Amino acid sequence: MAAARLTLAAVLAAAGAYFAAVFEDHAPLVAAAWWVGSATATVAAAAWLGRRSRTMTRPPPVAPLLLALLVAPMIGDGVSRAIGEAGQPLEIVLIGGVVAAALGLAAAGAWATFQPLALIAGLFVTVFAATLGSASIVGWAAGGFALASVAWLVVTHWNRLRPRLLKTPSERVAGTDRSKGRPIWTTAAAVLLVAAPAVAVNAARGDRLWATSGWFPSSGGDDGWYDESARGGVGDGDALVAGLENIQSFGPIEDAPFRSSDEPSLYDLFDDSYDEPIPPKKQDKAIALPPQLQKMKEEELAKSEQAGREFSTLRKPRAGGETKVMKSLASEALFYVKGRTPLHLRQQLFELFDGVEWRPAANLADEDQPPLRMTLEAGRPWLLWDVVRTASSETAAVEFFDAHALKFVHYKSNVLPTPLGLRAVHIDKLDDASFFAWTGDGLMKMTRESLPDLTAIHVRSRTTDRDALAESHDWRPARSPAAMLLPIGPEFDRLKQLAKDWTAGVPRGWPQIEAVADRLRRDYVLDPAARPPEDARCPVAHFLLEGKRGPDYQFASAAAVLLRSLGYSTRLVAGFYASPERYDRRKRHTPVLGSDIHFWAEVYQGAGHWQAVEATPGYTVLEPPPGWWKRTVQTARAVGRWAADRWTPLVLLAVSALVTWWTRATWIDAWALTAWRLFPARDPRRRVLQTVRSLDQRLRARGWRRPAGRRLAPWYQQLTPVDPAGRRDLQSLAAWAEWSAFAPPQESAADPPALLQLCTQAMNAWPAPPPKVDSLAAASRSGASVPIRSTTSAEGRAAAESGG
Amino acid sequence: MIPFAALGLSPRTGPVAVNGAPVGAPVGVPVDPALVETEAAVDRLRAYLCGVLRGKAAVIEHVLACLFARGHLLLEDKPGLGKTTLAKGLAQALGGRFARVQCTPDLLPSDVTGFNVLNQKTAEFEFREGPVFSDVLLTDEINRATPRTQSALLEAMGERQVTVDARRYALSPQFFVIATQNPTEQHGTYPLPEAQLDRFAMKLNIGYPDPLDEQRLLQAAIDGGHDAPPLDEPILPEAELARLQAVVARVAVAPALLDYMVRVAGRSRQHSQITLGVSPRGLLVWLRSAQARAFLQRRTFVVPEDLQEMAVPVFAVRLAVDHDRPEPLIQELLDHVPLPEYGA
Repeated sequence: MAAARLTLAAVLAAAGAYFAAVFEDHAPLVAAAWWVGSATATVAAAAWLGRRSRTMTRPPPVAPLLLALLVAPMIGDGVSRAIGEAGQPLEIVLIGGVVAAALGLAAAGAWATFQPLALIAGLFVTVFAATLGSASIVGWAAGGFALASVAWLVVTHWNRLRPRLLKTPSERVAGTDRSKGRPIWTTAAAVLLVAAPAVAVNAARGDRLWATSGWFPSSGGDDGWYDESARGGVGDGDALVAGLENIQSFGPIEDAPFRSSDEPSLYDLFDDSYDEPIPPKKQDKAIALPPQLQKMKEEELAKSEQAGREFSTLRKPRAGGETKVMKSLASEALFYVKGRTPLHLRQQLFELFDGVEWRPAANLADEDQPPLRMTLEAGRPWLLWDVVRTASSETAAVEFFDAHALKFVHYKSNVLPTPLGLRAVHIDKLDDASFFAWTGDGLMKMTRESLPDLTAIHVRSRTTDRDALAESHDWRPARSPAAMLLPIGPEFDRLKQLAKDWTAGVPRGWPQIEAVADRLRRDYVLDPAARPPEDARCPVAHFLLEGKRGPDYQFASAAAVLLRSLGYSTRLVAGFYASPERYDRRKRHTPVLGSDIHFWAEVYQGAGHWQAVEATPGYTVLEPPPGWWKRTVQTARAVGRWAADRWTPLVLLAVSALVTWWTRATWIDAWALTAWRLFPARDPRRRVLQTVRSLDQRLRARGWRRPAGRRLAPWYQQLTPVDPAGRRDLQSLAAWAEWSAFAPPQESAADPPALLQLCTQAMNAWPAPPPKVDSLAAASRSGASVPIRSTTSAEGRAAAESGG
Repeated sequence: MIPFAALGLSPRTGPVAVNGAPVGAPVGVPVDPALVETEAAVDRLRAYLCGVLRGKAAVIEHVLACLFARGHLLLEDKPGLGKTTLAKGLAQALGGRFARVQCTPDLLPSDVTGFNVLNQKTAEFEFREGPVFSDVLLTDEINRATPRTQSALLEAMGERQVTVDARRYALSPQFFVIATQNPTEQHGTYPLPEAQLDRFAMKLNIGYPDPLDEQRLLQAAIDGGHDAPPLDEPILPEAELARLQAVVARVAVAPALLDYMVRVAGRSRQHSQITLGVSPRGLLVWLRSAQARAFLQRRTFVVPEDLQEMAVPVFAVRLAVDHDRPEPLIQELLDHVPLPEYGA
């Protein structure tokens, strides 16, 4: 029993190492959830099998189940890929099968036969996990595996030695409890023996342990074939990797190497050892790199413009030194966003509105711009500036900071599309603040012609908890008077009246702003093709009062104008909307295309803070991550809405599930009967036993489980059918079942066809409902108290004789 | 219910008979044609004993099983229920020498085994055989004898020999002890030691007869006396009995059933209320008894029913129980140890 438990512990540790290594770049909860789930299932299965093993003399045939476990992760991964989720690399899926099989074997560890194989599989998995993962938890799990395995070896070895070491029979009898006499040094040696591998595994971190990498082949693809989910490989997959040597492609990742290219680069690299540096055809502002990064090769570079999952691996050159020409992976995206979405990325601000046209906001005077400075944070240069902090606590209370990475591919402007409330910017190795300049309120540009392609730009911004805005009482006019101005005209009087109508009774402040935006979202239709008639003097008024449908800039203009008429400072913002619907689960990025250009409004809150007002239906503003309670409520609401939308099939499904559950006895019965008829055993003996098992199954379905020690004949007697013929058939079957199960194998049935016929009859003699429970109990009580159960045997013989 | 027709199945159409008659229970084939005659003798023996002890067919079945399993029998019940009558009837039916010891507190071991006397003519010691030098020994009210006398029977029962004055005397190979005892709670009794109890194959309770059987018994007494009718010749002569015992020992037992027996024994040893579980000797006796019962049922193989039927009398004699009677505990053992699965 101890050996079985140790096997279980060892394999669970191996599975832990595997999950920790595979889900290393996920939240720790993911690996923990996988491990807890599989461990619970395995322990439950082990407990159940352990109980079964006491009655089963031979180990059950587990091969089909093991095969199923081995294949299950592959099927799961296939399904996962089919529904668009991110898949796992082939080697991880394959080893996942080994993990499942090892867990299955460990669950069946009550039979000693399965223990060694479970441990071997566990060892394989552990070595794999140790080479794959680098988190310390992997090392600890591997240590746990080593510990449990060594303990298992000790226990099994001792179990084999014990009978031989004990000299006399009396010692053998008493031998089970001799641990008291064991000297201390034996225990110490055992502890040392057990602890050493754990210590070794954890002490040998770094190269010595990971020197084993390469033992396992891994997916990575080859000519004409690749696994897009590959983490690293022998061949060359197309996924983006941060290479170390002999680089053959370039992608928007940070630790990519510097290569020469004829495209204008943010980074400049020159080497005096070359006689004549070839000047790039286009030249743009660049930053000098330290000499230790000057490793270059004059080669054509393949580019991957698709942001991919970032993972690190070593990519080997092809044998023969021939450089493979890689094809570039094209993308339509302007840039990619990594981080939480939806995200409004501001590109241009408009303040002055003449009734038809919005004019860009005037640039702030230089002295009003906060000065930029570079600060090193964890060795990385961050662009920072002083933010005008508000003294009011109500705005400070709602601060939450978000981080996003933007990876530009086809973006041809030098203005950084950044979220509202920008706080910091970081580009790797760019430690010169003069590369950046303000280009509006909270808008930043790079002092180059365009943003560097294929370069990751990290931004940090403030996200507002919009629920808390209702308590903010500022909403003062902004410093720029243009943000308050409205043209004069009858249309605008009507709009003013409209705004008043919409916000009647709503307290000033965020509730009014929300009321206007809600009304627009609810009552107006987003129609990118809708245009006002050419003779419309004021398109906004036409949109609000007559057309009631239009593109997103009309919604934004309407919101801005209506809010201005209510006395708020507003402005129009043009930029990009990173939609969560575009999120690419496989690449874990959100691409932003040219068609994601979007307009929205901003309203001035006070103390230098603006808030986005999203009046366009279907668009939402990023909020801080919800807390547990809020998330639960949101989930419940979403589930409720989902269920309400599909209530008819759901109700039907529930009803049919309930009906199936209530009538399950009938279904199981029909299934047992069908299986019994479709797959009859040819041998009469086996047919009889098959009939008995099938009958047991049918009776169990009705809740009549045969007690462990009850023989067939008295059991069938209890469930006597009303039909005397059926009763006789069942008793005959019981007698023949004992013959089939316990007679010597050389004895054959005298009349096999008659026996098969009996099976059919007995199977059809469906027992009537059992007698009442109390009479059953009384019967068993009286049977138990009679010391010699004379009546049973005499009756049984009489019945057998009359039957014969 | 499910429309069976829709599933392409037809429900039971009515009682179906094979060749006009239902298929009966399997009985197996006697291994030896000569046994057919022997089985007739067994039937006659059974019938005779049923005549001796009316209305107790099950007890007689167990007595026969004990006899064919070469075990000794302990009958325990209240006085006057026919213990001695049964023993005497069995002795008559088996032929051979019959001896009887009426145990009293002053009975000496030499009264049972025999003793050396000095022949004054030859001036040598001569061995006077005691009652154990017989084929069937009836030890009446064994628990009235002192423990010393009881233990004198130990060697005789266990090894079928006695040692007197350092000399060994072999007993009859068919030596069969039927001991009777009164329930121990009665006055003037010495409970049998466990070692002695383990040498009995089984313990049977006879119990009161049915009212109808009691009426018949009384009627028979009016007609002429209820003692067993005298037999002209033994029903099962000594040689025949030996042959039968050998046949019984060859009755097949499936490995799954041996495993079941071991599990039952193991459980009896772990049971909290049983101080002394089934010994390996107890297991052997149980096996033989089950084989004997299978033989009596005209089967060539043992089935779980044989084991369960014989477990009660076989265990009753050897399980030491904290309190009260062992029978409910034996039943509990049988109820809780799972039977071998059919066809597993």
